[in-house]
Amino acid sequence: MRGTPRPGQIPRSLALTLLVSLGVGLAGAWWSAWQSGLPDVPMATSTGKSFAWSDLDGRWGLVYFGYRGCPSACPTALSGLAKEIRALGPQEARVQVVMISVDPERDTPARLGAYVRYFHPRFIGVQVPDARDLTLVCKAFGAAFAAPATAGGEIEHALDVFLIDPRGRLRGRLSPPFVPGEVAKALRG
Amino acid sequence: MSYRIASWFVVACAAVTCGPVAASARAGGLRATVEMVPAVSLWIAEAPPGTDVLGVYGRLEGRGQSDALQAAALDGVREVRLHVLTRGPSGGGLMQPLARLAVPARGAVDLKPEGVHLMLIGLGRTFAAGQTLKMRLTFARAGVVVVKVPVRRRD
Repeated sequence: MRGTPRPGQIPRSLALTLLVSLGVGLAGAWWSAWQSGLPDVPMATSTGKSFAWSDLDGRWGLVYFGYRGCPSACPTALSGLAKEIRALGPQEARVQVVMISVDPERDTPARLGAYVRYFHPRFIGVQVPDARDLTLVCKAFGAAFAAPATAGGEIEHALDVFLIDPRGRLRGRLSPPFVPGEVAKALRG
Repeated sequence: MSYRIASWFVVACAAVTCGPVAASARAGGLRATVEMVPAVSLWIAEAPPGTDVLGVYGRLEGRGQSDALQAAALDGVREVRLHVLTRGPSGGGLMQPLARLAVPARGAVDLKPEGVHLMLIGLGRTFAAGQTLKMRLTFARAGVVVVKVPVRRRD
């Protein structure tokens, strides 16, 4: 009879259950694996709270690594991002721009806050206080970073903007000079 | 007579349209010589809160003689440097100082964030959109030239 397992054969319902369980398990493992891709290290935001990647909470994250003492690349990138975000209109709320300071000693959360809000009131600045943690975060994104050879010198840092999708996956990067509409296009893609 | 008027007219127009100009004219015909400094069109990006460095961008355009920008100065600023944004050893962006910036005789060089630009270091004054400041530029051939530079928001 159809559907009746022969001796030694696994019942169809059980097989289905096993397959579903396996699928869910694999999906969970994949999700966990991704989650571990971005280090869970202590981070402070310019709003005075701690920051975790899960705070992006279903939104797109646009992550930039920079510092207040950067004369040109950082303000230009943040200004360009602000323009792009405003162009999104009502969809703006779906996106969160995060600037991670590569100069945590001088960029305190309060100073970072005033700096990033100059470009857009919803931008947040993040300080990773521990230098080793900052290196871990940069590596997780594939973001170039090198501390200056002398105190107060130029900091080598990534010029790209990194995209995190609403499920928390690192989806790619945008490189300067940013073309108007590039962010909207990336979010659609 | 008409040639003389014409030659003086050329010099006068150059002086009016090119801003900083060192002009000389040899009376007596069309052999008038005009030694002009590059046309300068620069702007300073408004300072975000808490910053101590700023970029200056725009264009330098040759007016018939090649030249090179060697130095710049601005009151209330500790130092003005010529910089270029390059890729550092780690693959990130890194500023490198430049000794001079060549300006072709017939052509322009753009100063922009992702390339060559001037950097103001040590801001002892405010930089707010709407201001116009005087900057001293030192060219290899044209000498010191004072230009007006507006402060603007980046967007």
